[in-house]
Amino acid sequence: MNKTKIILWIIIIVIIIGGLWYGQGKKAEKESKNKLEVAVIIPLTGPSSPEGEDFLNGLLLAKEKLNPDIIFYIEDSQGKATEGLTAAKKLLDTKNIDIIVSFQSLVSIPLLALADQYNKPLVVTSVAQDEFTQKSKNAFRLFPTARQYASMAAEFANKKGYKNVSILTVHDEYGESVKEQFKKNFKGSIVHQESFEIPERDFRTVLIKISNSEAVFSVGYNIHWVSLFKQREELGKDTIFISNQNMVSQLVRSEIDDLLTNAYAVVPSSTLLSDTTKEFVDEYIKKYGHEPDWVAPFGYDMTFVLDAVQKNGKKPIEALHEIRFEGLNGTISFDENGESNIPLIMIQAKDGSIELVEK
Amino acid sequence: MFSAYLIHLLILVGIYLILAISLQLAVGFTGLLNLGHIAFYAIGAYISALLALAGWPWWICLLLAGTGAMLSGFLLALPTNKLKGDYLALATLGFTFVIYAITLNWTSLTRGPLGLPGIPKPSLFGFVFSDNFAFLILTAIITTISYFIIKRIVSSPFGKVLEAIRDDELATRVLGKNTFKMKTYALGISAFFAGIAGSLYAHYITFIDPSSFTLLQLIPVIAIVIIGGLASLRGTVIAAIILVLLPEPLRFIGFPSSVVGPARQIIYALLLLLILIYKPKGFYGKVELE
Repeated sequence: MNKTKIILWIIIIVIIIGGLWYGQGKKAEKESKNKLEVAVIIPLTGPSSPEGEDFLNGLLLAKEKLNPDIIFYIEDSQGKATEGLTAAKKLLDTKNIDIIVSFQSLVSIPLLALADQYNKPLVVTSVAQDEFTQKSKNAFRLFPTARQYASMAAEFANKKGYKNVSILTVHDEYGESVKEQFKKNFKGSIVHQESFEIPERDFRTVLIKISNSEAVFSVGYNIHWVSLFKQREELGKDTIFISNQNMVSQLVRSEIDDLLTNAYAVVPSSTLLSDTTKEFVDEYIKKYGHEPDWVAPFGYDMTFVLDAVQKNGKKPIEALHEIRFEGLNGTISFDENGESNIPLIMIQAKDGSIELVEK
Repeated sequence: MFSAYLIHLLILVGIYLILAISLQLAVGFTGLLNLGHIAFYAIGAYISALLALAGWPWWICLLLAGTGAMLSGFLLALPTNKLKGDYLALATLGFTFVIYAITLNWTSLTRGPLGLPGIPKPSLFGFVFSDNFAFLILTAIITTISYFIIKRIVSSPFGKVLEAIRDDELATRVLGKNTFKMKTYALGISAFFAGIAGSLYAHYITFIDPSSFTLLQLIPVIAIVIIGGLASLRGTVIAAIILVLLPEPLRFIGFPSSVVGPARQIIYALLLLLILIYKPKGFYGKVELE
């Protein structure tokens, strides 16, 4: 190899490393003593990007409304642990981060170790694993737990008097967590249980298999629900589904609104239109030109949480335990374990609309 | 001296480097288009994580991670030894799916999609590598040892036979070499180092789940091997450094939040395309991928 080439490569590598060094070299001065600096690590690309974007829209909408003393540093996690960790490390090294906000278990669980290392609070959403907040004093969750979702669904099935129920869940961390909790709380018998992979789109066989059960407890994502309801219609079945907010998400409703019958969902209260949520929805449509999905209210409430922390004046961890306000998702506060205990409601999708069944 | 961010990136470079040079041994030097490399990485990560969570000393976890992956490499070599090119790629790809399915469905062992959290940081003779700088030193040592072992292998008579197998297997067999055995060894050694990389990854991130070891994770490793140039360890090192670090300065450009993610990926893809247009055989490629 000639020497020129060696020198060229050395120069390229030095430029990259030098660029990085320069970029993060000197930790920035704190923008202002009163400003709360927040690292937001969310999926902006990859399969979870629609949820990430919806969350971000909610977050920024509230920021615009409140005009709080908060600076958001937004980084893409791509829904991957390594990417999320790299993004967070960059921000923790280059900015005076006070709080980390993250999305999804796969990214949030490794981030918790980092939050502990830097002793910064980590406020997560879309993380349902029950034990998440028990692992550290820095863990805070603005989201219902798997236990909350599944126990409410199981109690509903018990109240309805269902004796034979099937379980059909997506084979991922969320699906597995809620499945186990449902099994613990349901008093009847589980006649059939099956998991499906995320890319799965054909549910015809399983729909036939589960058609002898009185109801099906099922958890999947938007695209699964579109296929499930279309195929249920195609097979002429009237299977009753009990699920969560994904089943009645904006995307599902816009695709198959007329097919959404015999569908019960455990959802955060923000899913149902009230005076508070109506104002939010109107503002959201005005700004983004389309209706918000179920994640946006969590982004919106997250900004209010951060605003309350900033105004509290105490250290962020102490302040997080002290805040209490009425948000889109009900009364928001964090208990001693960092759980927000978001209240859930049961709704029913019927004739193109959704209505409250029970609180 | 170094910031945590830079240390983190250098640790990732080390892990990717071990993965890439071990894949280079199979693909570049032996001509085995192995798409099962990420499965060996997963096997190493899971063995190491499970043993560490059961309280085994880290160095034993590391060695057993490598050994477990190597045995899987030998096992994979048995049915695939007579396959070449696309057929071998397909068979090894199948192996990746099998391992993925095992990690996802053997829930009593791997916790399936819930993953394994709380994997302890490595410790040796009472010293815990909890500090990232210490972990970087550890990674650098293991990476350097791995590099020199593989370099030694490829420049040994055994390595020359591997290259001969890559260029003309029939002719090598005519010369009296047991190509079946040689290819099995090559795949086993390659898998051993992938397992070591998996162990390092598990103990560094402290959480693993099946989605960390899908085919998508193999793409950057193959990109490093191809861009570095087949059968070139030097090229692999340069490519690993560049490909891991290249997207990072783009974080400082300051795109608006709505375009930050896609813009970074587009620029990264364009830069990779440019490299391949001007260097179709990679930086120091000695052979072309058939």
